[in-house]
Amino acid sequence: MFAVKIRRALVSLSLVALVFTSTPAAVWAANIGTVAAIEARSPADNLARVQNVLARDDVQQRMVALGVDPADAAGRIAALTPAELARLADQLERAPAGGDGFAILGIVFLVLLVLEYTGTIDIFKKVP
Amino acid sequence: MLSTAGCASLSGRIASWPPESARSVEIAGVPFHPQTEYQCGPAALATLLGSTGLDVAPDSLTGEVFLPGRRGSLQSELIAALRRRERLAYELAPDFAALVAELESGRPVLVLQNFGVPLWPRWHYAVVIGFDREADRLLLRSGTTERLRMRRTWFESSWRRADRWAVVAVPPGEVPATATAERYLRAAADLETVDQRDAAARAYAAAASRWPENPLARVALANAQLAGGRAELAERTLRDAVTAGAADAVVHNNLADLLARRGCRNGALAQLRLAENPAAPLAAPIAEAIEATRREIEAMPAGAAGEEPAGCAPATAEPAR
Repeated sequence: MFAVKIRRALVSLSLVALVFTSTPAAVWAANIGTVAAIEARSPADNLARVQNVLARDDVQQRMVALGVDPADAAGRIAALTPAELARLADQLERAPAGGDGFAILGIVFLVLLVLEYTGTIDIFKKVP
Repeated sequence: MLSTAGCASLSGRIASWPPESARSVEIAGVPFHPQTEYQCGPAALATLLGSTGLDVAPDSLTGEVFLPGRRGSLQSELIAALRRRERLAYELAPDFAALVAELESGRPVLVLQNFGVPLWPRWHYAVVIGFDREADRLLLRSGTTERLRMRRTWFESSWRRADRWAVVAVPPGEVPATATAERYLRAAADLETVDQRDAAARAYAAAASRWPENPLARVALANAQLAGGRAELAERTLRDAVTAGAADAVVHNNLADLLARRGCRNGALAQLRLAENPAAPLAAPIAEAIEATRREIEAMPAGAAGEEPAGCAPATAEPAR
């Protein structure tokens, strides 16, 4: 009987303590965070944030389809910001993927460049 | 940041040397990691990380940035890999002069090049480690070549075909020579977004001392101080911003919040009124946040007979002399 009373007292005491210590944190949500302050300047990122949840699973599955070890995929997704993730969701299969461009195909490029410079061809059009 | 493959645009003409640049630069202490098949991404990344004092083997980066189905690595994944190692990834302005300026300041630059033609792009990553202006060459760690001397026109031709994409890896607390406040703070916030809070906090501190007139830098620094449990320091940072005339609505709002947290109801309301009278119109989320702050402060019980703790007076800008 006495033990129950003590336990009750302890519970109410800890509840009171909980309320007192946690109240300020719960009440004060008035601070504007750094990321929010930056994103307020470019609404595009807010859109990315909304799409984020959907994009995460989607990009992860497509990465695995492109040969990424499933064990690595989640970590790779986690390291991207919402804006990057949204862009990747859009362009994973098309965005530039640097690989061996120089080693193998540099020669082709050099030949084209020489032809361009000597005026034989005109494929590297300049922006007016 | 990402251009659409197959449509790599030619952004501008081949650039020449900026008139004020040094005659030659070769950054010392940049390791060389020769690439294996399709692995120029991991190799260039390891080279860049090595230049900031992180010894990483390209093989250990493959699982993080290589995309087998694309036989290459994506720009955003290289950036993510830098952030995972507490390096702030700063994308340079797409400009030859910016590249040269970073090299002159001793920072190697990871670049994307395109050695194909518009309908048939061939992407490649390399790290520029210097230049020789007399010989009209750039020096690169590229592919299997430790010290590639590439003619400027050829480099520019391949680089502009990749939209002149370039990134530097910045150890926490450093600011690149060509950085702007806006881009640097965003890169720092990206560190915070992926939970690299310590690195982000050091970047914010660096930003606040590099750009003392920038309100966002002060807000970022104060928020980092607050998150580290140093509310007094955060209040001082924001008060200094107001006094120095480097305050915007967010500075006033967050300072009002700090004042309210320590019981300064009247001071907080006075501070918040400064946020509600901005010169420029506020973005909707900021205006809503300020309104929410006002409601929260007004809901505070007033002190006995209007008594407030010491130091509750709102901060105001020093009058211009």
